[in-house]
Amino acid sequence: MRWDRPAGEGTSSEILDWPSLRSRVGGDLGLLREMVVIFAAEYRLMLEQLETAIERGEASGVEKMAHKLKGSLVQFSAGAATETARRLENLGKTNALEGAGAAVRGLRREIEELIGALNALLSRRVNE
Amino acid sequence: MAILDTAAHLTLPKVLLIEDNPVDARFVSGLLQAQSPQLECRHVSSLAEALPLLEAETFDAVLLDLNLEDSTGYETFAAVHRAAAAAASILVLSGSDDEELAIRTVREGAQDYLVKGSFDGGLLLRSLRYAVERKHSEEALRKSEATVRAVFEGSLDGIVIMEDHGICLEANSAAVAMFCCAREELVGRNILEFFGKDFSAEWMRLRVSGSGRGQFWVLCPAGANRLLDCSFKTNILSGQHLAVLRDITDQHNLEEQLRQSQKMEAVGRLAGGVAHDFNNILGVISGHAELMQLQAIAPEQRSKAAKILAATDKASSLTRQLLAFGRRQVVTPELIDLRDVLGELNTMISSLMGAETQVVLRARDPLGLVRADQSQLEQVILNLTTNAREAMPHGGTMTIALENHTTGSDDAELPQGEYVRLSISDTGCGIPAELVPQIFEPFFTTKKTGSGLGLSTVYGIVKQSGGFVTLQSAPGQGATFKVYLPRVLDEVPRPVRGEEAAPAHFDGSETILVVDDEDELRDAVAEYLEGRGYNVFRAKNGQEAVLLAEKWQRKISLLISDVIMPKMSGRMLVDYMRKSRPETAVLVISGYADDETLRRGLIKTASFLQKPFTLQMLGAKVRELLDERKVGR
Repeated sequence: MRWDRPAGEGTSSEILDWPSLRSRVGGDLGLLREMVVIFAAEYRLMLEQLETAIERGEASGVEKMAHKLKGSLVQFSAGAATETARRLENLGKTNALEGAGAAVRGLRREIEELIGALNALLSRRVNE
Repeated sequence: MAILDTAAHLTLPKVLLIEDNPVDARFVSGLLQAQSPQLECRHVSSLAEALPLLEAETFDAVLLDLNLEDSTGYETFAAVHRAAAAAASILVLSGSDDEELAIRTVREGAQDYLVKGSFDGGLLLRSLRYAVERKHSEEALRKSEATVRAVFEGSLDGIVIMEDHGICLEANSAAVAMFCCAREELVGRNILEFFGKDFSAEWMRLRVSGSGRGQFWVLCPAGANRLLDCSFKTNILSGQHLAVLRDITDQHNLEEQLRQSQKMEAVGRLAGGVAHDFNNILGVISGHAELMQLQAIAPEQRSKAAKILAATDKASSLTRQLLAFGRRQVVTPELIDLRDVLGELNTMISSLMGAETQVVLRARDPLGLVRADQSQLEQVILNLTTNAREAMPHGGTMTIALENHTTGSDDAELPQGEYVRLSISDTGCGIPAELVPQIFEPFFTTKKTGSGLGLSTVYGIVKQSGGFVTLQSAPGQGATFKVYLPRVLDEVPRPVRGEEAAPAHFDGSETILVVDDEDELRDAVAEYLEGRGYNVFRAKNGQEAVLLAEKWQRKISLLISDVIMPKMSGRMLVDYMRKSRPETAVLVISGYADDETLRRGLIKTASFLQKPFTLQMLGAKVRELLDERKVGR
């Protein structure tokens, strides 16, 4: 299934750069849906591991998990969430975990908004 | 030269994706499937899974995320590169913050990198194909370079790459050997320094012309200079010039030896020919001077005749030396122990050398025998010892050594064989290297009083005896002449020849036929023999002699004949006489007997007298032959 019309109307570009994402997956809706399903199944565990690392003060763990999340978020063109994940990665890299907890909470919220937006877009396209 | 493996270009790549992020993995594999459904993409999420797979299977390309669960950063790349680089191209998937690391992997062997979040399916596939192509090109280049390197290093010819000023950039092993130095000494040094002065100008000319070929001497330490045949091609790359070098020193030396040998042969023929004619003239002069001496009444006339005879004697000594050099002397080869020859000459050599020179004789047992003419060998030893004495005007040591010698790799210029080697060394002034090639040439001398025939006589005699003579010398370090004579091992020597007793008187009454195309010599011989009481017939060639022999019905006791004559040669005349008058003794007289005559056996079956001879010698020989015949009957 491919998109051949403009889409993403009504979604904040901070959450998701829809034209960019659409272009990169080549309009392959099925592929995008698979990616969303995989990410939705994975991200909670990843966030939990991130929070655990923060609680234990394991900076390298914070860096590693934030980097992994960032990699996925980049693929969804999720500008705000990607930036938060990058910030967390840097906190881990510089072993400065103050404020990391608040950042994770922000990231969780941004990811949930992202998934919500993606699901909304995908269901709208299917119905169309 | 490019060696391309084109088969891989025709198939779609088989790809291994190493990625621990499931979203990324699905994204990449999904893009590839959408772009190229036939492309095979295998996915693993850890290095531990990837390495055995790379060992077990061949992939065209690896898509590699550097940060995995079990390995991060450059180490991930290094491990995969070690396992896969021989066959697969590596395309690194990098985060935007890791670009520097990605660039490093490309420097170290990855074919390309892509930043996550910045590529779509089209770019991914293009990058993948480009990485595979680049890998193939690199592999072809590597193979080509390996081949060129093997040819470069394995070449028997020297190969040198130089920059504009002649600085050596690269040289193969053969070139290093030709320049007589280590590779580290050659590379980085100016090649022009190794060549003679003529090379610099040639190098400038070559730089303009672009290519060329020439022969140049390379100056090596210890005088071991090499002659190189050089082929040049300039600007094979910008500012880089190729020289291919072939060492032709040995070939050059052999050609020089051949040229020298041919020159000596030609000079020898000329000298022999001149000596022959000169001997005939000397025979006439000495013959008539002897007759004059015999017939003269006034003491003053006899004295003048004696002076003429003394002068002809000196002249004939010179022609003998020329004949020896020209190898035209008639020789009597016999088995000789050189120790006996030296023993007989010992006193003479000691007196020749004088009190200031020590003479050392060394003979190493066992010593083989040689087949040569004793008087010629005496001449060789005397000439070489005289040469040694003249090289040591203030005294020194002369060593004469005798030993058996088998030629081997040390004296490759000599034919393989068993020899007796006579070495005569002095501690004198030595001979400059540039004079050595001329030293055996006739009339070449470095002395004010020398005739220049001593060493050329040695050369001629040794050659005639089937041997070789070599010289080793350097200024201030004396000289060593080595004479190699073929060794005869399986024959028993005869006693050294003694002087034969001369007959008491030479008169007789037998009939003798004298044949010679030189009128004056024939007349002198005939007149002398007639004076001794013989009945003499004269003929100026073989044909005339045959006519005379056919007319004369009575006995002819002796035929005295020249060898080379017009109309009918001496050889043919002797053959005729052997058949028609087997009782007639034969005495052959000649200025020289060439090899052809010797081969045909003329000298072996007849007595021989070398011109010029004194009439006394002739009288003695005639009487001896006639008396032998009488005893024989």
